[in-house]
Amino acid sequence: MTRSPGDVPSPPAHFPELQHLAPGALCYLNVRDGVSSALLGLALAVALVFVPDPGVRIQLWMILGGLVILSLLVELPWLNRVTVRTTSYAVTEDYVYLARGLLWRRTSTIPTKRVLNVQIAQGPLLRAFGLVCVQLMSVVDLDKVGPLTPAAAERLRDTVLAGAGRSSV
Amino acid sequence: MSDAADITRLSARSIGAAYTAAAPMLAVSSAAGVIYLAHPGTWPGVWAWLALAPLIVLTLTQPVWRWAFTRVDLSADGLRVRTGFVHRRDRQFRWQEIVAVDARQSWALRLWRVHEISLAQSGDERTRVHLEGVSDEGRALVLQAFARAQAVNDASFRASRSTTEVLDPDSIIYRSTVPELLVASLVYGQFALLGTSAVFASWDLLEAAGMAAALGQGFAQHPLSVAVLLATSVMLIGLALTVVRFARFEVRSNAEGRLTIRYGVVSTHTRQIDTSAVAGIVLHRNLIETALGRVRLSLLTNDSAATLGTNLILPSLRHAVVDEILRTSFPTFDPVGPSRWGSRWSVAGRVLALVLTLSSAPLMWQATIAAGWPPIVASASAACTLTLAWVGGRFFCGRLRVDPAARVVELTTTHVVQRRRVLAIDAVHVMSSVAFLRRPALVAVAYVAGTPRILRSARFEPSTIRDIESALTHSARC
Repeated sequence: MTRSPGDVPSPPAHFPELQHLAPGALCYLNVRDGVSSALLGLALAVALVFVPDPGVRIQLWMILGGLVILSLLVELPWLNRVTVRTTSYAVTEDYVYLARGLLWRRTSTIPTKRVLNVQIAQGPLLRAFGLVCVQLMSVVDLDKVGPLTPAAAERLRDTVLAGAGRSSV
Repeated sequence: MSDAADITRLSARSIGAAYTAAAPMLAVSSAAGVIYLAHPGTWPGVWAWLALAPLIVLTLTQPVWRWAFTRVDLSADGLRVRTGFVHRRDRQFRWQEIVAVDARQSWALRLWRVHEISLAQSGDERTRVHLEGVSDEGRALVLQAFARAQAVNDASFRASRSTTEVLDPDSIIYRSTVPELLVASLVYGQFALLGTSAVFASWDLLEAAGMAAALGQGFAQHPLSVAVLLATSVMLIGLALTVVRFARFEVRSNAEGRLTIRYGVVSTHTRQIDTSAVAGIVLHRNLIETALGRVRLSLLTNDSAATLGTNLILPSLRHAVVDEILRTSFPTFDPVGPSRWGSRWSVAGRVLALVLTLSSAPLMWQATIAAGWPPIVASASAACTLTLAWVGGRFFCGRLRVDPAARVVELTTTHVVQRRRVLAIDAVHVMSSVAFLRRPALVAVAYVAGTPRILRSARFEPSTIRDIESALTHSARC
């Protein structure tokens, strides 16, 4: 799925069409955020067991529960959709362009000769969805690109490594 | 890699080596655990097993896990390393990209005839890969492949330089005089640094000689005179030490573009810099230098981390001299901007910035004391306010410009200290930007000067981002 860039700052005119995340990315993000919110909430709830005053403890539990539900109501139906819609990338043998965010839109442009390495990572949840994340290694920290399909990740890696006379091992 | 050296797994002996290395720690941990079990009254008692048990389990399982889930594919072109089971990683390295290979063998590894190999693409830890448990054959293969790639790189480098003509003798770019060193010492505050150190060292000697008490009595009787004497001593000794330390300071260049910086009489320092490794320049002047019409020039090179981010090559010089040096030796980095140096009257604005910054601390202190905060908290708040005012003021006084034709990026910060960093576009590694509600808000340009560094600015023309992106992508295609 590709779209023309429409947000400021827009990439140079000669950029190829931007690529977006994998079709299953939204589902993955929802499951990930749901699981992590639940685990975090559970850990905090267990910690609150040690609050001596039962009344305060119950109030804090209720606040915690409300915050977890609120965060899920914001993240799952809206925030993750915005993330998937606004995250994009373009890669050629010469440069990589990354963009993400709606209110605060972050973009990065990296000549491929400055990319030290490309790492493909897959945790258990990504594996369950058949997706991977790509991490470009540079002198500064760069946002991960993903979730992507393994084929898209391999294409991205091969294209980057093919830049400046390099090729896959 | 495996003993057969067809190289897909690490050697199984790495497990034995890891257990051998961990044996002392395991023995001590187990003994401690037994003691805590036998004597539960000894703190922390059986609760110690909350820490000991995971440690022992991790120590026993980690070598097996690492051996089972590490795959190494070695070829004539490079190396592919796949690690992990729950969280899997896949990285590839071409031999030409590897800058260093470290092979280590601890006592435990030596007993089991395996090695630990680290391969680095750069100094950054994120681009290193560690292989623990490589057999002798695997180590030899890795080193041979790396050496072969380096031989190719060196031959290419020599071929590229073979057309260099016969070297001209070094030409002198700059040679300091004693008056210039004295002025530099004053404007840097170098005299204070060196002079104070010398005075303290002298005080130690006087104390050892038993004369410190007499001086202390003198200070009690004539405090002003002694203070003036001390200040004068600091200044004079500092100036003298500066002249001695940086005597015969000169900068030379040769036809190959190599710069040589040399100074010192008692202790001679010589530093050579390849101008092709110069990523940019820094022009720097404080309030005193601005009033005197002087500026300092430094270079941004790959090893600049040795000198806090720059290679300082020239002390404070007059604007005209620095302009001439830039024009002749570094024409690429001619600073852009509507007003190259600004008038000396810009000192007024910077003095105002200094006054505002410094006044923020007492104002905060006053406000927090009036609000009833404890003095120590008020002091901490004042210090934080001063720091934020200084850092924030410097950040928001910086403006980023780009000259697409000259292919340079310049960050000018006009605060209490005025600084201009001019960076070649080719030295830029990453350009990032942040837009808020479709309005560009922040731009950051990353480069390497010893360590990764970033130029950040919230003040720039919207076209700056597009110009840098276009320049980066154009340079990538060249």
